Amino acid sequence: MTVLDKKTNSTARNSKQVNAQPEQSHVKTLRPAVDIYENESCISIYTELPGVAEKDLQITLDKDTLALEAKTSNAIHADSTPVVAEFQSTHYQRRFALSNDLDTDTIEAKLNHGILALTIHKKQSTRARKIEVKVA
Amino acid sequence: MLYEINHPQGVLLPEIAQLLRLMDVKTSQTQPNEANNGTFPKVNTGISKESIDVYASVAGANPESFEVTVENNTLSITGKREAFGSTNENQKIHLNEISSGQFKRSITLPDDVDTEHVKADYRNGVLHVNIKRKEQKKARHISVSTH
Repeated sequence: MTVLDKKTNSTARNSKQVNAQPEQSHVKTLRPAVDIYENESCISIYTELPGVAEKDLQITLDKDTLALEAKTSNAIHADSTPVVAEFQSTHYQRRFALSNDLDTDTIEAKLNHGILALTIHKKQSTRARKIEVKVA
Repeated sequence: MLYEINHPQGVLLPEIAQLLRLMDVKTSQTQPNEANNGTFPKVNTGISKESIDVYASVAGANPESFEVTVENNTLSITGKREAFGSTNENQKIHLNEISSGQFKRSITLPDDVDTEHVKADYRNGVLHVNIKRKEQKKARHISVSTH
């Protein structure tokens, strides 16, 4: 059972995307932090996306590649003058390759308080099961 | 098993991924506007004539755990983020990059804040605290008498 974490450009997590579109060049592309858990029936991926609204999140599945893309708008209200800016508008991107023992037809995605929770169920046939031993 | 595809060895252990992430945090400390990378949550602050807006980037916190206080001219934000995994024994952890636990951040505000008028809301993982400023006293004209 594998979830492959596809790196986009370099090993640095906060690295700037090389092929960023010109109009987005001032926006940093980050790889968001993730937690990945697995139990008997599914794999859960939690992705930290603070400031991302549902409409700004895109999840695509192309063959075995699950790609997340999201953007945040500038949080500071337009009327205010920023005095401290520790986080900025961000473009988030992270890709995962799913092994073929996962059921990609039933991926569940929930965005709650800036955390995207993805649940990918395992195919019934690949789940570990107990085999009864018959006494002859 | 977790694999990082373009890693030279093809396999990257969670510990190494975590280490790379930490190293990143360290290197980005040299960049402007990223100075507070070690502190959590990161905050943005904006000031207008009427109010001060503080935005704390804290995804996945328990909304009920938030405590926002303004005392004298210090804003304190405390809260808690629970770990996402269950306590199920059969659960395997492949990657754990998101920190969990309690956090506290204090910010010094200007002297003219109105502590009676503070609003806070939590949306999309960003806590927004709006603090009204006291009305500016109008400049008083003082006449100078001559002898």
